[in-house]
Amino acid sequence: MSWLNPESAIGLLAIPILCVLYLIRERAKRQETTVFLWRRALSERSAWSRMRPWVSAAWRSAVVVLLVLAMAAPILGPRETRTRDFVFVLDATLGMHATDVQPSRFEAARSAAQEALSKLGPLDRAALIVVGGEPHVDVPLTIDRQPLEVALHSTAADWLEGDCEAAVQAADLMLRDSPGGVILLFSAQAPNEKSRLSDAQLLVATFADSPTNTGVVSLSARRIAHNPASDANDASPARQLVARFTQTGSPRTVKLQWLVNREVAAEQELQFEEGRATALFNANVGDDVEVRLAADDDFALDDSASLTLSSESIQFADVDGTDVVVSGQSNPLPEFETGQQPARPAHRWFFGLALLVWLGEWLAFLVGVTE
Amino acid sequence: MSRLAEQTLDLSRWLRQTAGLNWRGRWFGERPSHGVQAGIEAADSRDYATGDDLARVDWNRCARLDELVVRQYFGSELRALDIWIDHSPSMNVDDGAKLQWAKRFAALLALQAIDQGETVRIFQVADDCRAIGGVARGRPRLCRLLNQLEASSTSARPLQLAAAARQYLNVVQSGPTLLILSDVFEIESARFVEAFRLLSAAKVNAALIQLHTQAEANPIETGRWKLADVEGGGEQTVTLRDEDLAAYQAEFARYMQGMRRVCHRAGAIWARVPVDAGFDQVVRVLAGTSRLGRAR
Repeated sequence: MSWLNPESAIGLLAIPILCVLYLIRERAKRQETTVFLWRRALSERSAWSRMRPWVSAAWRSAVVVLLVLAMAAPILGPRETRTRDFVFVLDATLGMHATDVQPSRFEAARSAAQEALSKLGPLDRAALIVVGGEPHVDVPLTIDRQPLEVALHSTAADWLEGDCEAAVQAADLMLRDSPGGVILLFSAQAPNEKSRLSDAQLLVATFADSPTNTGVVSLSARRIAHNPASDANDASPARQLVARFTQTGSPRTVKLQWLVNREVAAEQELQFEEGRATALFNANVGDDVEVRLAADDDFALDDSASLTLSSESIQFADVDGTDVVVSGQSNPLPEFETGQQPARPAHRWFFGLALLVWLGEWLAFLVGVTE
Repeated sequence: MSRLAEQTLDLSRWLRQTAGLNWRGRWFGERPSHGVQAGIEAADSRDYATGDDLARVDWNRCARLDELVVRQYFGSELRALDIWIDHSPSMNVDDGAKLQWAKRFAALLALQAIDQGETVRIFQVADDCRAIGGVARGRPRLCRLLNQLEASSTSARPLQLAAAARQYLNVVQSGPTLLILSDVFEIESARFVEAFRLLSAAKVNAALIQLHTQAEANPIETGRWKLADVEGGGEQTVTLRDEDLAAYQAEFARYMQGMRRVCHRAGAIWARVPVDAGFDQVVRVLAGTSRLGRAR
């Protein structure tokens, strides 16, 4: 709290002046022959009656204090504009598909990010970094909320692994010239090292409710080979790919995504029977096909998991992303301080309050509560 | 003649005209005597008053002049009227209204008593009892006594009736009539109780006229005050409100009732006189007190 007119505090001298006047008035002296009778009569006064002069004095002093406060024009907030820069780092990696947090980790993280965004001050700047595969800046630092809201709304969880720590470092770099900048990380897991940050403050909200590791598995078979012998009479070089999976846990849902040349070609849910499931996909020769899975419980590949191209089996050369997301516990985003606009002097409130107190004192005087 | 004496004579004339009959009997002349009353020498005669003994009526004169008068005799016992005037500081408030009233009233009674052939002594009372002048008998001595009375001033010491009574009883020969003119504002009620007990034991025929101002009985000023005790010293700062005034009035009334009870137990007359009330009202009060013969 600061004061617009602190010199008005001299008005507080009115209180001792009033006290002196009160004492002077008190000194009106009269010769009494029956002081002993007065003492007896006054000794029968109630406690409230004895306190009443002090209550009156306190009441009137309160009016003076409030008037002085009103003249001093207190400012109950910052006197100057204070802005902060925020970088939202949204984890949209493979592991965020897990559904141990309803509806999914990613959806929960996105909602939290939207909520945090709504709390920012009107002059605060914000940026959005989405971590899906390589971290990328979706929205640079801006005061405009709309692109941030649109970006948050349109971003979906990726099927790639990513590096949140690298994203945090990138955010720290963005905030290099923004003292007091804040990095808000929405992820399934807090980054291991925070000491690398230069000046920015890192606040992490985690979204995971699994006591054990959550299996989110990505299988990929690179470059479907061309078989001249079998493809010679075949006008359509399409090949049916078969992926077989074995689960060891009890996943509620396992999602599977087929990517052809890094583009999502199809999505389907795996139906496990006796712990096994099979997924089919038609791909062309020469395509770069990837299969990605997300489950919310222990999940392991069958030793013989493979992509089958017709009769030819192609062993997975790359098995990405097993155990990319570990167990964890959800933690909400800690409270953070946003930028503030300058507060207006609250002198009107104090004037109003002084008027009310004065009216109250006057009414109390009329009904005989004070004197 | 002093101003006090002039006023006294005026009052005396007025008193005779308005309430003279009621004033006789109790405090002057026919009061009970503790000594031998064997007077046979006619001294004077006066108009008959209600209650006079019919045996003393001068029937010859009545038959001759058609006047109903009673004869008065010189007795062997010297009849004396002693008057105490409280000279404590509390009597000097409000420009000495109470003290002035007491002096005027004492002078009036002294004049009446002298006219009745009695001797008069006036005492100045505070924490002691000192005679003002000597024994007055006859008007010339009375005038001198009144001059001395007028010159007397208040004492700086508070009232102590018990001490005064002890000192008084040391010099009193026989049971006189004692009239006490005082406000009796003593903090310790036990002292004036003791004073009246001593007077009663010495068979002093006492009467107390308790003086006060109307402001003392019914104060009306509220607000912040520093009350300075003129008797005991000391000050008390108070904020007086209407309910405090009411409580004080009740306390004052209780105090007066207490004084009345004390006098009643001691067989003394008690009357309460607001000195700043009209004199006729005062006389009416005192006349009523006299007729009843006891405090009310």
